[in-house]
Amino acid sequence: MGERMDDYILQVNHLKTYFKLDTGILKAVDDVTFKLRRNETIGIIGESGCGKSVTAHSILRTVQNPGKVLGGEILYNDGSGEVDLVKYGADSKEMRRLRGSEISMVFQEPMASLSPVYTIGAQMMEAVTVHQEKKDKKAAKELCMEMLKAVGMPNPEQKFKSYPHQMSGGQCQRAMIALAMVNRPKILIADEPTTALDVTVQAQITDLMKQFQREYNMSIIYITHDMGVIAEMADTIAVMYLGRVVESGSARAIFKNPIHPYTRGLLNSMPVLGRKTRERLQAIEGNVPVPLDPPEECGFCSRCAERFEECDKSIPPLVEVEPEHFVRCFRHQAAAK
Amino acid sequence: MSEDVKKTQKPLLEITGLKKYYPIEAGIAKRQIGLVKAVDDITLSINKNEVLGVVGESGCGKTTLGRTILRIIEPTEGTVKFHFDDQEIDFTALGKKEMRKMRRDIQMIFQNPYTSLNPRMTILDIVAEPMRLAGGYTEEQITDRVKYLISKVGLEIKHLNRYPHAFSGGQRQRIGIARALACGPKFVVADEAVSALDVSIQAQILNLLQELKEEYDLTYMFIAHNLSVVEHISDRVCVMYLGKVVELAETEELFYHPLHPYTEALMSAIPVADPTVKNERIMLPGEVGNAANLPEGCCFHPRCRYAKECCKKECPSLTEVGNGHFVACHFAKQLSLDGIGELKVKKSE
Repeated sequence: MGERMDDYILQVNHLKTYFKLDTGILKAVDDVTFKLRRNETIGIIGESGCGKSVTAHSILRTVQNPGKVLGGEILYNDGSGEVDLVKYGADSKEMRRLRGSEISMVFQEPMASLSPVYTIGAQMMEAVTVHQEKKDKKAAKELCMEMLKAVGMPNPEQKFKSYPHQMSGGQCQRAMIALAMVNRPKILIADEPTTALDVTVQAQITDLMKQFQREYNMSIIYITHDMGVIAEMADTIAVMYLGRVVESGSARAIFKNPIHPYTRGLLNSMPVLGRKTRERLQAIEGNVPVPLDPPEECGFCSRCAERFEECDKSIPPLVEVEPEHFVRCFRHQAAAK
Repeated sequence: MSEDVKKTQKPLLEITGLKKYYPIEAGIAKRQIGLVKAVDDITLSINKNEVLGVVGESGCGKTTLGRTILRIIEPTEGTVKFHFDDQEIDFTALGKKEMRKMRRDIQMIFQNPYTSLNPRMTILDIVAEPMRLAGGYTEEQITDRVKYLISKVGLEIKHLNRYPHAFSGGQRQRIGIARALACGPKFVVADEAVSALDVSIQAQILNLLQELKEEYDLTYMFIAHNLSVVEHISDRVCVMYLGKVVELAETEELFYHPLHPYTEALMSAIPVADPTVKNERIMLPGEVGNAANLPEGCCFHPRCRYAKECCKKECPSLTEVGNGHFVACHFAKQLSLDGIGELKVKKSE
């Protein structure tokens, strides 16, 4: 099968989102590139402060002040042609049409992201009617109820009238997913949707998302710091560090043949079940630096065990070392050649 | 350790019938209309130099258990006894003054490094505070010890006069650990000590906790919800559900041969970091029950796929099935449950 550009529903190229602060420019997202195929899931993985969430908000154009998308392209193709979301204003009609209907988002803390003063029903109804041309409350309510049942909400009739504080964390996350899914989006961005939940509930939620993906032909951007979850959810993975994608490729390639020292460090620092030994974990030394006016160098070089002269002189480019497997590292690009 | 020594040596900590009930009150008269059984009749012991992992879902009472042991929360019933050297101390019977004195031997590392350090105190004062409270140290000794501890946990001495906001999450957790170690404790409760941290930082802190344990002969109670972390650090693991211990065994035994259906379900819910395995999960229906309104009989029966009639009526007690493996299930001997070994095999098929 030949590769067509149409295969990709979303292509993010060299995206830059900076925050202008009094103390300097915070380069939260600094050259992020990845592609998302139709009906597939891309996992974006990285530690806190690496720019995962800002990337998600940049796609939806909901980056908060003083943050601004300052460069790159976000090419969205719903099948009828390609549009560059960066060219639209954050408050433009086009973005408002896409946001919440074709591209929607599930947030990290379900309890904190739902409005405490409206019922679940009211919040879902708003999401539906705002995208309707002719307001039809009856049809909207039917759609909401159908969705609440689909996410496996116990007692949906009653929950429709409940406020978030009357529900558990798992139920709130189900409500968030129902809210995000109610307009049958083509892309669902899930920003750490299960981080605040228990393992058993996490398993229920990830299964639910996979089920929806099959039923509604949807693509998912799954953001997390949990390697285990990402291995189960993602078809392709982008590893982020300090605002940049340092490695990307198929899930199999990232887990079986990780190349970037940071990716390998992440994989080694996880405790693995059933290893049977109490030996030390291989931790990555040091802390994640703050990308405030960062120097022109590989972001990882201060913590990297394999650094050499070139690393702190310029920023390594993202290079394809094997088909569909990209790495941003001087040492391993040289080795691959 | 040989069997003989094991028998003669008393466990460092013995908890017997520990309970913490919270009343639910209603109306102006504060009429009691119910009880939340946060910790419900827990009996266990922790040996010297051992790491006991405590796992369970949120709301199962792990944190309450940890805090009740240290009497940060006063228990409703039950005793907590410590055996230091040859001395037996009934911690629950101590008066306030004596309890405070004992606190230097038992310390806690808190979950959230962002809220457990006073933002108005410098690092020096934070780490020094337990020693100042305990008394018996000169200011010079305190400063020396703080310097030693701070470098021990991997921070720099020049940072001593900074305030907590200047540190990252991992560094703050190191400060919390230094504070817990300040008075030279024998027993430390680590309540979700690594949960708020990133993976790479989590590994640093886990390594640090292990090093300190070996160096200072520490005994930990390691409370966490992340099973892979618990498996990594613990010698024995105790699984809690709705305020009760449902299973307790040596780590390997528990992970490879679980005997309680809840433990089995927990194991199968762990995501495996390998995209080539296909996971066949045991889905637990519903959510953790309500501790204010416990189901009749075995509290796990509404979610248990093996539940039979008798589970709805009778609550199984925690009994030893051999080799230090305790389980609270009517059918522990009949069921053959899958541990992580079988799950892995199944997944890769």
